[in-house]
Amino acid sequence: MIETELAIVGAGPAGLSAAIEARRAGAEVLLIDENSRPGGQLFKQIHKFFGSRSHKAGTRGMNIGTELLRESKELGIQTWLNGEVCGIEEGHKLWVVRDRSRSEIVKAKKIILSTGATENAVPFPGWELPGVMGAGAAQTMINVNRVLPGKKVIMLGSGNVGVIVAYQLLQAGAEVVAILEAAPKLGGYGVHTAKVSRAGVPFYVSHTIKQAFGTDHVEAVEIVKLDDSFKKVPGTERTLEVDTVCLATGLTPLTELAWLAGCKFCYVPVLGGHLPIHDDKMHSTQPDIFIAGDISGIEEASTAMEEGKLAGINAACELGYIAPEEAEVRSREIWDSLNSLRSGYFGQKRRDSKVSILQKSEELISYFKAMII
Amino acid sequence: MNRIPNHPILGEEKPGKEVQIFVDGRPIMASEGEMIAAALIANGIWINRYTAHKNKPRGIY
Ligand SMILES: Cc1cc2nc3c(=O)[nH]c(=O)nc-3n(C[C@H](O)[C@H](O)[C@H](O)COP(=O)(O)OP(=O)(O)OC[C@H]3O[C@@H](n4cnc5c(N)ncnc54)[C@H](O)[C@@H]3O)c2cc1C
Repeated sequence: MIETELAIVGAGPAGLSAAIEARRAGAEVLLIDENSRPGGQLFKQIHKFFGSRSHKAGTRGMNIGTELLRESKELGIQTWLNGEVCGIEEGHKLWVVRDRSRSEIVKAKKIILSTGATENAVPFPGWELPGVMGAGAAQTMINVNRVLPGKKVIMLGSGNVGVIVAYQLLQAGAEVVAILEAAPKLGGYGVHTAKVSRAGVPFYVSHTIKQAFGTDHVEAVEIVKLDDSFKKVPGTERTLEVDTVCLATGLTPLTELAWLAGCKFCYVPVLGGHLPIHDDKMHSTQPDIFIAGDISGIEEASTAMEEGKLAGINAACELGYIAPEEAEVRSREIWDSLNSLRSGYFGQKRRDSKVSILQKSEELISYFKAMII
Repeated sequence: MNRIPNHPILGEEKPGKEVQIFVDGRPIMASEGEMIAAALIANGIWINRYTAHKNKPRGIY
């Protein structure tokens, strides 16, 4: 068994930012990620980020990743790659499978869960055929592995992930036959949508995939129009020849470890579904367990980094490396930054949802306090 | 081949060391250290298995 002061699960933007803050304060940190390279989603994001300039907008995601890795190297943060955290046991013990071959138990005084999210799939007849995949999977193939997963692609979902990956498929040399959106309005930010539209990709709103055809691989899809209540309109079917179907139909926080740890959850559809309740220090309802990033609600790398900093600072504070007054001042600064990130039409909805989570956390705390008294 | 040697943002990819691997007895060329799924797709191999009951093909997702 290995002991550490702070174990962080997941080395995406949230986990890396948390590790940097806590290590800088003096805490002993062990950062664990299942991949062979840290950075989480960042190295797939070859586009310039949106948002305000103070939040690295205009910088490509992959360059933010390189910057975070440089800082974590400079601080000498201990990092286990190819390490999959498969369980949390009582006494803050993490069960880690290293290099897919051996188990190791890590006992930590504090734990930060920054495991990110997983892609949602939409089932339709033929959805299991080779060639139907998550947009994120296609993105990993083209931008990380430099392999083109298909030549004629249809994208289901017009949110930011759908339009950005569609554009990146074009950059990689694929043809994007169409982008479908079940809702009557497009979901992504205007800048991204406009770019794809200028490249000549047709958008179909109020449309979905009825089925995919093929024997050993996708050969075609049948698309269909949807009415105002999302019901398929008979007679509007049309068949398009494609060899790849990408699903960009939302993400769900990867919360298994938080469930295992006994964290209390709430259901917030705007942020991706069931999430661990947390307070303004990113503390979950379990003592010593913090969360940060997409696990606490699907947002963006920019918010994930801020939440990571909050978790890192407050975990280091609980470990005695940062005075509570200082932690509070710095947390408040981060909250200012988070509030400015969570503004605008889409941001405000996320901000309101986050406020509702914080309220739930306060209610729970006062409930438990009342029970103890 | 389904590789992307030139990319408008990522630039040119320096080819890594080539290695030969065998898939169901058939030799294919892969780049040393790359993900197996990537090597398979680069070589046009999409089917990773057939399901036990209905014998249907499955690939990456
Ligand atoms: C197509 C696309 C475009 C995007 N564009 C933007 C943008 O322009 N601007 C922006 O700000 N954001 C953007 N984002 C969002 C951003 O990438 C995510 O919000 C961000 O990466 C979340 O960070 P995270 O650290 O919470 O999770 P991740 O980056 O997902 O990192 C989590 C890490 O934890 C690891 N992990 C999970 N479980 C375990 C376990 N049990 N054991 C070990 N390791 C584990 C994962 O493998 C992963 O490496 C985009 C996302 C996508 C998909």
